[in-house]
Amino acid sequence: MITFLSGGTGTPKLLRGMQELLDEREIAVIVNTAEDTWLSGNHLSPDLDTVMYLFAGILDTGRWWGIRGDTYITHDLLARLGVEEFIAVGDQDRAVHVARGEMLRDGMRLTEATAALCGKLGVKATVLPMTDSVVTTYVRTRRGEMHFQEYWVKHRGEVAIEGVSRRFQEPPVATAEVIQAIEASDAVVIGPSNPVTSISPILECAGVREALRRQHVIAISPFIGDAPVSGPAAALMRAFGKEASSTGTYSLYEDFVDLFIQDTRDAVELPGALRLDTLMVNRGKSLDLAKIILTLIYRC
Amino acid sequence: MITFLSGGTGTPALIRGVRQILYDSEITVIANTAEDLRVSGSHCAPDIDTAIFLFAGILDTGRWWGIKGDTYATHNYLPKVAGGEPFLVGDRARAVQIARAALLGEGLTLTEAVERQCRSLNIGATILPATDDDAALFVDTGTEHLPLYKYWMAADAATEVRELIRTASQPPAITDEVRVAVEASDAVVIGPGNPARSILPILDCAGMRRLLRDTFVVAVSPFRGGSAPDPKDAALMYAIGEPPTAPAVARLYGDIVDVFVQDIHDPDVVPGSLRLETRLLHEQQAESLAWDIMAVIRHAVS
Repeated sequence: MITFLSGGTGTPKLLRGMQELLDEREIAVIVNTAEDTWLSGNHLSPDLDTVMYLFAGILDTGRWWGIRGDTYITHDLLARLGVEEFIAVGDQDRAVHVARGEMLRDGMRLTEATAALCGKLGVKATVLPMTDSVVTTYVRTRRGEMHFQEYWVKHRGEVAIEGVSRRFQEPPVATAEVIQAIEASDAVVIGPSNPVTSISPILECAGVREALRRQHVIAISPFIGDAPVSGPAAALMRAFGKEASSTGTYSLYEDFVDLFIQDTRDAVELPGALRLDTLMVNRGKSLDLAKIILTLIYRC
Repeated sequence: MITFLSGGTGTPALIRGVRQILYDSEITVIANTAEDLRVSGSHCAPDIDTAIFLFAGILDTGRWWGIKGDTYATHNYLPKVAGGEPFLVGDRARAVQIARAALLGEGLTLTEAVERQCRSLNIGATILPATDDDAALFVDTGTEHLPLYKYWMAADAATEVRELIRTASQPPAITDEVRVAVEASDAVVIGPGNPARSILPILDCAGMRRLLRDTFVVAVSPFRGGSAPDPKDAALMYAIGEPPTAPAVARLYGDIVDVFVQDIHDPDVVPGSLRLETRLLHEQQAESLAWDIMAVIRHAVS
């Protein structure tokens, strides 16, 4: 089994390749939940949904979120009624939010709710939220702190940010399922997801770093030079006090990473890093990168 | 100004007829809230929604609930990912319910939230919840307490109805807006809604009966002897200790009613009642009944 740490679109693009090469039951994905929020009465978990929809075969792989071919009847009428949802929630997507919201209201853990949804959607991979407690990424701007999803989706990342913070009632702790998945794996792969908003929240869950130090870990940089492959990583890295580059990314992972992968086009020199084509612009590129990583893990 | 006490499908059908005679701005609807419940994180208020949809011109007048031409993408997808919802919720109706939940979440009263919704849908009539308090009724089936609307929409017709119970610790009270509306009305019309399910929950709000005693009130019986009522309508009436008949309705409303209207073909006799055709099978019948009721009111209050 291989365990992946996932958030945003970077790791899901790698999973698209892995999905074709591995028995899905041999895949576990630990997913960032620091972008979760209650929206319109129900529970939005963007990174969990992307991974679930990917394995269920219903992901809109044009945007890498939402359900392919979804409609927006409720969302559109809500806007006319003066309720602006900051993200376009599709009608089928909303059903998933409703189902999860009801399960959480009934006292289920997020891990259990996710397993129930995966079961219904025919997902055979193990999809695990990083924690069952609530932790949320906020970005500090001159207009005050805002939820990361609001910053990225509503304001399209066009607001200057001065810092990144996580809000929680109690410091998040990795679930037992997460630690077991890491320990039972042949290797752990951190895909090219945003280090600040997708991966660090997972690493900050108590128990994860320690478990990773005992594991074989491969990490893929999301940066080429000072620009991320996609998304708002550069500004976030600087706000996080890190250099927006592979060097900055490596510094977040260096205490546990065994193999660090950089893109062949990346001008930043990192001693010991493996150079590969990490730009997964299509299914074929995802497959190529997945194959090489599997070869590295299983040495065959 | 004419004020209607409304719940279920009978009163909205009558109001549709009244709209042919009066301007919307001359109509106030006091809606039953005993069926309100939270569904899928949003605020479902069937009798308020029916009134809103009616005056917004989008009510499905085939079923007398929901929005004409609505779709069910979320509702139909839910069973694929979880247990599904107890009754149909359309995608557009869901938006109205989510928007109301959002307004309530901001701390608005139900009355304020509904007023805001009416404004955003350019509704000329005044739609008022009977109360801002928790007035939810539950059906005691002997094995569980079903929310009234869930019973109505989803329960088997043979489900036993032992009692209608309220779980809120405080009895609900009418709002100031309801008081002002009734005091400013020439007359109040209690539409042909089931008393147990739709009308008594309004009359039972603290302050309502006293207010109506000082007002000219016309009540229309929803039941006609000789034609079997809906089995659930009957079960709910028996649960409050009365049969589903016009005399029972007259008894339940008591001394607040000035003119009691029962169907012209009803073999049961309510002494002093006005006999009219009360079946509202199509728009013309509704308009005809509306004309007759307006004539009674004009005669009485002029």
